[in-house]
Amino acid sequence: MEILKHVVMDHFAHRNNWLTNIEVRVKLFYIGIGLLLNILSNGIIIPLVFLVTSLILLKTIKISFLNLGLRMIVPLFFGVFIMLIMGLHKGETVMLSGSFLGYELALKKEGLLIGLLLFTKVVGGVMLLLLLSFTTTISKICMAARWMKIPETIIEVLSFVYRYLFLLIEETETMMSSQKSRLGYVTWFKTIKSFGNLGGVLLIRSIVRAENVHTAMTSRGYNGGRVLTIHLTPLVKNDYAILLSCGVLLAFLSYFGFFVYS
Amino acid sequence: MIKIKVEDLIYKYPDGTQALNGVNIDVVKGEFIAVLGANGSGKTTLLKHFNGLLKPASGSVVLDNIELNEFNSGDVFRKVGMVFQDPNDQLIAPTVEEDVAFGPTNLNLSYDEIVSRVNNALELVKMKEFAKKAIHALSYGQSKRICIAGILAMEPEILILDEPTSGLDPEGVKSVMKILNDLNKKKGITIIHATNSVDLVPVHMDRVAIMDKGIIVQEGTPQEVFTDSKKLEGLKLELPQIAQLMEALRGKEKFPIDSLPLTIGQARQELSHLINTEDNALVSPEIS
Repeated sequence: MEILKHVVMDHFAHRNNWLTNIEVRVKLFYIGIGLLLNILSNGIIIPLVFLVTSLILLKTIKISFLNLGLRMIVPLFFGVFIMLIMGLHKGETVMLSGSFLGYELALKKEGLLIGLLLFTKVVGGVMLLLLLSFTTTISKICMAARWMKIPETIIEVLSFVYRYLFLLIEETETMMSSQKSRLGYVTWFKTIKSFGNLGGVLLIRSIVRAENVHTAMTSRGYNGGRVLTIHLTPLVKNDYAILLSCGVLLAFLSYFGFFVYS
Repeated sequence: MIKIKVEDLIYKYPDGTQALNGVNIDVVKGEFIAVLGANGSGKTTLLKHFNGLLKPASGSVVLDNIELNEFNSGDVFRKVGMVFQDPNDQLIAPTVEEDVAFGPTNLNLSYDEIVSRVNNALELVKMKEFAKKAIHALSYGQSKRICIAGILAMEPEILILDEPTSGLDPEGVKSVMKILNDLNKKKGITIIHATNSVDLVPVHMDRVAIMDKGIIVQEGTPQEVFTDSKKLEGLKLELPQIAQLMEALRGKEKFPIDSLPLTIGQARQELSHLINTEDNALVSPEIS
């Protein structure tokens, strides 16, 4: 639970540094185009460039490898899994073979290469998203989303998810501690039972909370309008300069990634 | 001038719980009134009728001489703001300034007016430097203050607070009560404060209404209401601590105290008066 809390915490985005001070729309432009290039790339160069550049940028604002590692565990696991599956199922040139639990397994070169490409795409893409999440608050992303004319309902849901995610984790933590202190997790059977109870109670509490929140919102005049109001300030010269630099960088990257080293 | 007039208010929850059994109460403009009662006495249910969140089964709620059901809900919420007991129910936006702006936005005000109201409200609760902070990063006491700011930004004439000091440390209670006192005395906002903390009442409130089993059983100034501990015990309440001490001094030590002091200031005056009288009584025979 502590790890989960740590992973979703956005205190890094609330810090004051050169990356958090970059205009949110500029960052979204870079990350958005970057993700697109990452998905479309047919070589490992573009994803690797995004991985390395994002890593360097995040290191300039003193994000530790531990913090990055904690957030990368799950995507890395999936990346490796995909690579292995591809290696086992695709291609013809066997690189490594053996038996495992009575099954004959063979890792093939062509499959591994496809797997490697997918793996780099996963880590490159996740790293780009980490760059955004470590430097931009959800609140700013919502403001930018409104500027981009994304439907209010989506922005509303995004802001609610962000607001109540921490509360959900807190309530889960409190209830789990209470169950633990009454020996709720001492055996497998009790653990499963406790998890079941926890899920049920959390669901009921969420419904009650939703009802209370709706009452409070109604009493503040809410009738389906906007949840957020604060506007973004207009882009200034500096923002345009960074936007242009990002554009040039992405254009070069596309040229080299798609035409030179493809 | 009467701001809110409640007559024979009856309310039953859908599960069959009879929460209000004929409440009658008048709230006067500019007063700071406490609705005091044990848990389950019907305080929150009554408060929710003041701004039309709940509709009475029978009886009436009149706001500024007009029946509440004749208002459109937007007008009622503009006039009567309610601060809920649990800040997590009320704070819905990711950051402080966005949450405070929520009410004014729903009033369809201009952007500049919203920003100005947000700044003023945060200033009033002394939380201006927290404007950009994430809601989940606030302490419980800070959250309570932001809840008040969120309602103040709607510039209500009446402020209803459901146990705003519950769960706060003494410093937090002091700070919230100071904010409320300032709003009442300096801004002239009528405040209805539901609580079960008897010690706060004589220090801050002009009038108190005690609820029990869905009706108002006693109403008046704190001096009129807090006279007898036995009567309050029957209502699952007790006298303020100072009054309990003075009552014990009067009952067990036979101190000649007529009316019970309810605050530290009143008790200090009464005790120093008693000590001076006793000193004079001791000194007088020698002089004579």
